Amino acid sequence: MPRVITTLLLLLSLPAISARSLGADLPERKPKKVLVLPTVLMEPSCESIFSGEPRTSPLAARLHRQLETSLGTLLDIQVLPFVQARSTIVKRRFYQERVVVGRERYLLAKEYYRDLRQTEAVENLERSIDTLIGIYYDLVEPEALAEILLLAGVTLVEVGHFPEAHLAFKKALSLNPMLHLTRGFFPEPVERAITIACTDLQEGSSGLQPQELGRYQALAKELGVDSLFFSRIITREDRLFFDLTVLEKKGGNIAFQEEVPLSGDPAADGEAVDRLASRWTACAPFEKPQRTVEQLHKYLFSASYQQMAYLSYPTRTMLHNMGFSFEVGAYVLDSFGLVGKVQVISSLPDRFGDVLTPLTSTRLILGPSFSLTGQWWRLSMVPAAELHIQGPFKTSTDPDCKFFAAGSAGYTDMCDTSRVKNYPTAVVGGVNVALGAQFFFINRLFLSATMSISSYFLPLDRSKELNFPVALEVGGGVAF
Amino acid sequence: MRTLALASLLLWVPLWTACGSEVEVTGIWQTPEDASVDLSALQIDQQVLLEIVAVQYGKDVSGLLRLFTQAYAPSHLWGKCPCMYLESADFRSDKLSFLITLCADSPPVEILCPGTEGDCTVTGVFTLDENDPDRMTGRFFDSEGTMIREGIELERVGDDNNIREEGLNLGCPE
Repeated sequence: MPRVITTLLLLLSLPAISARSLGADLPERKPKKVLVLPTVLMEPSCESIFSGEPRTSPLAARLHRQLETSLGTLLDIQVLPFVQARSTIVKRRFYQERVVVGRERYLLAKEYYRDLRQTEAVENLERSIDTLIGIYYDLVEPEALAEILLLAGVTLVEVGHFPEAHLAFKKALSLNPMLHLTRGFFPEPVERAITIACTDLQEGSSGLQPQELGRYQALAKELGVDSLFFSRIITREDRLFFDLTVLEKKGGNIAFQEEVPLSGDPAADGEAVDRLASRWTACAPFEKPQRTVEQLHKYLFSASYQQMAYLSYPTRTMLHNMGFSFEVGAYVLDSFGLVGKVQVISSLPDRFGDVLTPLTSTRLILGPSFSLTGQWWRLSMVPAAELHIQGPFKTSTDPDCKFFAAGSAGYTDMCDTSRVKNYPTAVVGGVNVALGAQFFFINRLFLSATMSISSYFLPLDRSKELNFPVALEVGGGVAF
Repeated sequence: MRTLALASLLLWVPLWTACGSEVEVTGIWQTPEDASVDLSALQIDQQVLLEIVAVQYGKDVSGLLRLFTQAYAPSHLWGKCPCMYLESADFRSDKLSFLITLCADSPPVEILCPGTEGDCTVTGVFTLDENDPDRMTGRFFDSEGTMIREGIELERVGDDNNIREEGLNLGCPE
């Protein structure tokens, strides 16, 4: 049996030992999870919106894949595939219902627009856009949302809300840069507003609008990623560039923005994207790994106030005790340690005063601790062996033996000494099981609460009137 | 787990009940000095002041009954048999009941227990005032259950601390 336990302990310790030796030479940092949003291929010129056929190019998809691959090969970087992120978004609660609501608002707005009721149309379009943007519909069906934004922009121009129309067109074009319109289909002011929005978008330093940062930060939190990658292919002076913008979840700001020229050669372009990814990782902020309580603190000392009651007792009412508990612990492995306790407790007056002389006792408890831990908390279970030294005490149910002071005339005259029960000092042994919680509030300091119960069965021949103590401990301590 | 939860509840229940506002008889009870008791039925030939010292343990009670002449002072203890123990005393339903054993050579014994070889006992029954828990009224019965005195009024003048401070837990010295 001991051999089995030793083997088990060794097996438990192996992962911890190997992890420590492997990680000894590397800087400690928490792996970063990133999401690369689809690469957007921008039109070379805003004039092309109203002329020619829409371009289709595999370049954007290829460079998006390349960026995901490049990031995936970097140390401490985990890439969340966009397909998976998209699936997570679609599976969110109420997603489908909100899509239906958003689409219905759009269809209703179209009816209003046809009836020349632009004000009602704008109102419904705004509600449609708010609903769909709120569920990240732009990441799932960007072209569908671009269509709604386009109608919103047109209607806003017609009601004279030019700044709002500008933003709507800009967003529509950023979602669907391949958008092509027939010249003359829309009134001239609308075409002009679209052209201005397109120019503004192309001259902008990134595809991200400042008001969107908070929304993308929220998305990063929901998906559990640390960085969001926005990339687009832009044309400048007849040359293609790969433009990369990285938003950090922590802080919600743009932490990286650079562009590299593209040559048109797939291999060379792939290398360019690879270099850009490496450049980002060189300066990317990494968090330190969050460590559990055991990893931070191997040893602990605590002191607690203890309230204890025996469930088996020689008095007519439950015998309560109070005292103090001192605990030392050493965690040799994650979630496993050894704990020792010394407790000194004294009985409180019982309801009927049956205890004539108080019982003072000392408990020694030693056992393994199995725990679950977080960064600031630990829940533990300690099955332990207990040695309990119970001091001498006397009990009686005779009121005269309680009232009259020992040795007085009243005691001599009235107390029937055969009704006084003497309990000599006793040493008993048994098992103690404790469930405890520790809450670290300032680095090494913690508050603790423990509940325990014991059962005494040693010595075997002793009739144990005093047994099954249930205790509640509340205190605090320090870990180091 | 359920056992543990029950045990933890049991741990605290007695504490709550112990803190209840239960009326107790513990204290020093005296007849007012201006209302001394006529115990002529016990052949006590003068008006006396009666004092009961009682401490309650659950339903059980222990204590003393003392008689004084003019004031509650050791120098005014009744000369013949001033101190008796409360025996088989209990406090139930706001009633303090007890026996007292009269001193063998005291005058009441000749009246209450003529020709008795053994102890002569008197039973006292005092009822707590419903409205004022610091007042009680009592009666005495002889060994055959015949009421020999009623309407004895006592008021609480001290508590358990006073009892111990005054050494009343030492009993009746010879």
